[in-house]
Amino acid sequence: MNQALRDEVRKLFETEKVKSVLGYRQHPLTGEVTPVIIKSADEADQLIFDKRCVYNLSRAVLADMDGPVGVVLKGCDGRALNMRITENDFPREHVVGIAVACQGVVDTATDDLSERCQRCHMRMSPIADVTIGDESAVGKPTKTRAEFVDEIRAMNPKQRATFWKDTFAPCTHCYACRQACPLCNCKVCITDKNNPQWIETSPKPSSNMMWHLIRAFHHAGRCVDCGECERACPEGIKMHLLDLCIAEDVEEMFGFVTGVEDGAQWQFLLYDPNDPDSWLGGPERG
Amino acid sequence: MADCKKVTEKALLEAIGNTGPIFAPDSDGHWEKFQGSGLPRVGTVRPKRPLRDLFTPPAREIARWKKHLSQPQLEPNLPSTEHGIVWGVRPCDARALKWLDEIFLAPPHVDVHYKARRDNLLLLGLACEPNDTCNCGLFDYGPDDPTEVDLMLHPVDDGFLAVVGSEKGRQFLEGVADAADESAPALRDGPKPTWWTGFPEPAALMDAFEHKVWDELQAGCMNCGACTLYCPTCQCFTIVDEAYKNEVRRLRVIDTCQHEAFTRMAGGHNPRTKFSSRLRQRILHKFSYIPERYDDKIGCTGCGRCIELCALRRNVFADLNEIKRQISEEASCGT
Ligand code: SF4
Ligand code: SF4
Ligand code: SF4
Ligand code: SF4
Ligand code: SF4
Repeated sequence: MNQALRDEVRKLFETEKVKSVLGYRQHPLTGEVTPVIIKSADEADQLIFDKRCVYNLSRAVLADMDGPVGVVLKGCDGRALNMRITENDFPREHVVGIAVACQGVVDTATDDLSERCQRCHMRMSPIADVTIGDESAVGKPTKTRAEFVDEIRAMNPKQRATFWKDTFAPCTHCYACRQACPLCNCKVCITDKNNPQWIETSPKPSSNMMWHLIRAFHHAGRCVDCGECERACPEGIKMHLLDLCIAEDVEEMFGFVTGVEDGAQWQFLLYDPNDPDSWLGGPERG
Repeated sequence: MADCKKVTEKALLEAIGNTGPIFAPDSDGHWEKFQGSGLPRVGTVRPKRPLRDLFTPPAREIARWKKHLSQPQLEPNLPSTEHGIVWGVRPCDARALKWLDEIFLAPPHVDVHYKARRDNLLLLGLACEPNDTCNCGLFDYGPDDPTEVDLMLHPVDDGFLAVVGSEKGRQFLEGVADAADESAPALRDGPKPTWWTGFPEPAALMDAFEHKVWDELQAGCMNCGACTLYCPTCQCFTIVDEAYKNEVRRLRVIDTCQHEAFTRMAGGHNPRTKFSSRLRQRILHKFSYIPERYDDKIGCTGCGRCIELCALRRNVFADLNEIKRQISEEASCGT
């Protein structure tokens, strides 16, 4: 896998298909797997891909980078990149997708297959200009998303309110979850707006709830379940469960799965003058 | 050389009881007033949250006033006069306080809350069992350094060896019953990475402000801020007014240079728009601006929290070595 990856990347540089490549390497000093950006074919030999490559590199693609930018992509990363392109963060030509056959990545704390990979239904990136590894060997999910959220969805509204209040209670408003998320792509985050101030700066039950509800609604139909938000949280808060509950609703009610289909827009982001719902000013529903 | 006495747990607890409540890290690594009985059980290294939380908490009220009054009456939040004991202090956290003193105790703007805590809390250190992110050895001290705590305790059978770190500590130890003189345990060296080549010169770092290395390092940082919000030496804050039912409270809340909004001005201009400019600020502030401005001080104690908490497994010391390598290679090429 590593050799094939390095060879492909070298070729991409040599044929001038990319100006830089975002990938993973084992840090020469610390031995930790970290993201790296390389700028030439000679540097390709440091690239690796294995079960320790947890980060979602689609987050690191910036519109002002010297493109095209090659990006090593797992399935979830590719879906996030697909959403970012659909949302006009940058044009499709800005990126060259280097899709790797992902067998799942581990939870760095326990070395077990991470939760998100246990329920992952799309291990190959939909953005795949080149493909590395054996696509047919990626394996199938062993769990469904529903298994993770059924218990919460079965609660009555009061129980659910308590559950979320307790879940968010340790939040310090550090916003590491926001920084980690490839789809937290607003130019100015609502947490940073202070006129009016939607989310108060200090942590307390009201502002915690405000932040987490807004965060989850902004991700409705957009979250790709890469799990990076939860992994980044220094307080170990399981805030991503709420994204999962909403993703379950979105699929049930709208049949929409994020980032799978190229260019497919999530309904909430669309404006259609022929929308059958009258409140948008369209024709009355017949 | 250092004064050292053997104390029993029972006698120590009694002396603590005469001083005031105990503050210690809880099981989530947050500094709290200890509610249990006996001595708090703590881990073997620094807890998740830095010790500064007890002295300059992440959110602290400055004042409050009632809403809708034509002449609002300001009710300032007065410093606590409570005396107490801090249990489980690690040398890296204690050193960080020494640095924070430069900020919060420097006249004319002395932070009265910070000063009250510094005056009224006694720091009882606990010798650590370093983990693989601990880097105190880089700063020439180690896991049982007594210099910045009042007493450094070494757990032994049925009690502790207590090494005196300050005059306050000596006086406290005099109040512990049945303390017997002992020879102080030898100081251990602190851990440091095998690949370490030394700190870059502060002035050379400053000269490297426009260097390409910052952009190279950028891919490995998402500016999440964990490294700064949990760092014992970081001290940045913002001031906000928040509305409650009948009143407004003015709070001082922790902030971080890693976030885009930190430097955004009214009107929208932002001098630090790039990820790389923010990670550069963190490194330059700690390892160049502070040493240049404050004699022999450095904005890091090697506690390793930033390494342990970074979701991208970044290591600030590996970054420093990489920056140093690139700077010195260029110097020797004469470019
Ligand atoms: S909300 Fe979390 S899981 Fe969803 S895309 Fe963002 S980082 Fe990934
Ligand atoms: S990362 Fe965790 S603590 Fe920080 S804002 Fe998100 S949920 Fe809160
Ligand atoms: S860095 Fe050193 S002083 Fe700090 S917890 Fe680790 S061993 Fe103790
Ligand atoms: S914790 Fe890591 S990713 Fe987050 S701001 Fe610090 S260096 Fe960057
Ligand atoms: S920079 Fe890192 S190692 Fe240094 S004091 Fe801060 S958290 Fe600890």
